[in-house]
Amino acid sequence: MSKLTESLNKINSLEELSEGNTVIHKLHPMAKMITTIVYMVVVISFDKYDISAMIPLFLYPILMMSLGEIPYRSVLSRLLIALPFSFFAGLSNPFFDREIAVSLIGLPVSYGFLSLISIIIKTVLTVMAVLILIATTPMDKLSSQLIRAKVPKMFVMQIMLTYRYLGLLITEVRNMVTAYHLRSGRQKGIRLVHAGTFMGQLLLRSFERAEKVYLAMKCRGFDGEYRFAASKPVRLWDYCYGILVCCVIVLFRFVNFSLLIGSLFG
Amino acid sequence: MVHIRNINFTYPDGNQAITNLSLDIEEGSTVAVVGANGAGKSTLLALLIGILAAETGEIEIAGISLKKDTLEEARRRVGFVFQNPDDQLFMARVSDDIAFGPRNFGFSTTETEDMVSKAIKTLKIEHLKNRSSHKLSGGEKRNVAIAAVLATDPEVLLLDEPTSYLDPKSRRNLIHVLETLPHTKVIATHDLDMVLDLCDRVVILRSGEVFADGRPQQLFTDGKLMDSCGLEVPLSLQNRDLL
Repeated sequence: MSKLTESLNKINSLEELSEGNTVIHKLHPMAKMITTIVYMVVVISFDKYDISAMIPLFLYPILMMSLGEIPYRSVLSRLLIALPFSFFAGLSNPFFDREIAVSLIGLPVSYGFLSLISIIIKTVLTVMAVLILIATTPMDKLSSQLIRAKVPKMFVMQIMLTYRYLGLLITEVRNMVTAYHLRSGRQKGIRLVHAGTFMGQLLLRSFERAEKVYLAMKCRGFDGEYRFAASKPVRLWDYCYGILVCCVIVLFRFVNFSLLIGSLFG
Repeated sequence: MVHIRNINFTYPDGNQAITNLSLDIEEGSTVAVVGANGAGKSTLLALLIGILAAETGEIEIAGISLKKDTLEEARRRVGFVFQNPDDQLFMARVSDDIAFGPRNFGFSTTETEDMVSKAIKTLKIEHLKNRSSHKLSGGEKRNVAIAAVLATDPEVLLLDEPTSYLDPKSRRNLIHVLETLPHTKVIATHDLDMVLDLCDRVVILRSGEVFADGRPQQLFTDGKLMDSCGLEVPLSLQNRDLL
């Protein structure tokens, strides 16, 4: 299976996961969205050396994936895409911040190294939270809640249409790459001399395809404003879930449970 | 139901696709538009739904004179099924895709649900309702695309190559479905055997002009006429020695 087909399947599989019927899927999208935002803000707000306090926050993605029946592999494989960015963003820290913070099994650990680990943990937690939100909430429901939360319509439309169009674009690229490889013998990849033409063709096809999709939407009354299905009312359970989870997350921010548990056994 | 008077259309590259074309289509009739590649079939349908605008002449469809300010109303009354269903199916789920039109036309949630259910029932695709659009077969996609257009309750149906991408059985099913629809239908197609089964009138285009207009059985058996339009007598009308 080509990498492009794999990417296409990955996008589609996340979409399919969101159609599940678990307790997490049944929660109101607004409740999930607010808890995700609170979770991300709390994660980001931790001090760059405060690694131990962040550890209990791993409970949130683990519980959400278990209750939402989301395969760990599907989230972790997507997570790998984001990790190199945060790794390189924090790579210089151990070189500039060399002061020893702690000695671990006799090995000195610098503050710079701690901040690098902290950046990676923050990336892991925030990206996982977003992936879990997408895997448990269909994109149109998520978009309708963003509009309800007063996010500018134009911005939401861009997110939604880009997400929708991504699949079509990858299909187009896959077809072009397959056609190219079938006529290029044993050669791997696309030769540099053909890359320009290939990209140009892709751009033209992409325009053409986008225009056709847009015209089809116009023929069915699309006037630039996406009309979402009426969302279900927020139930008492959704309020309870939102308040409880937000409280626990905020509690994790102010109480270092790792230290607390450690001191109990220490 | 459809009145076209002396329309002309030229593409930006200078290709005159439609030349002084006039046509009248009665309410409830099923009319096929056939012709060789580049004869102007798809362009004619695009002009009828206002995707393209005629340079000269007039188009009246479903009681509406087609102009820039009447396009929205015209699109309420006219449904267009694209040649490639992948261009048309945009939403993740089949039911959402079918509901896309009614929601845009301002129908309430209950009305939209009723219209979706009715369209799904007409096309007999209840089993596809909750499926992902991208996972359907070609025939299923075609049926969903037609259902998505039917859900808007149009008076006129324009279909561009409806039997393309279909295997023989799906094609036959589609013909049965189209037979049962009471709408005025204009079908641009190369499938002349389908025209024989389904249409009571055929318009043959050549170089953007109406070359012949009549009953399919009558026109399709005229080998000379068919040949001059770049067409062939349909297989079902040919006397063939198979052995």
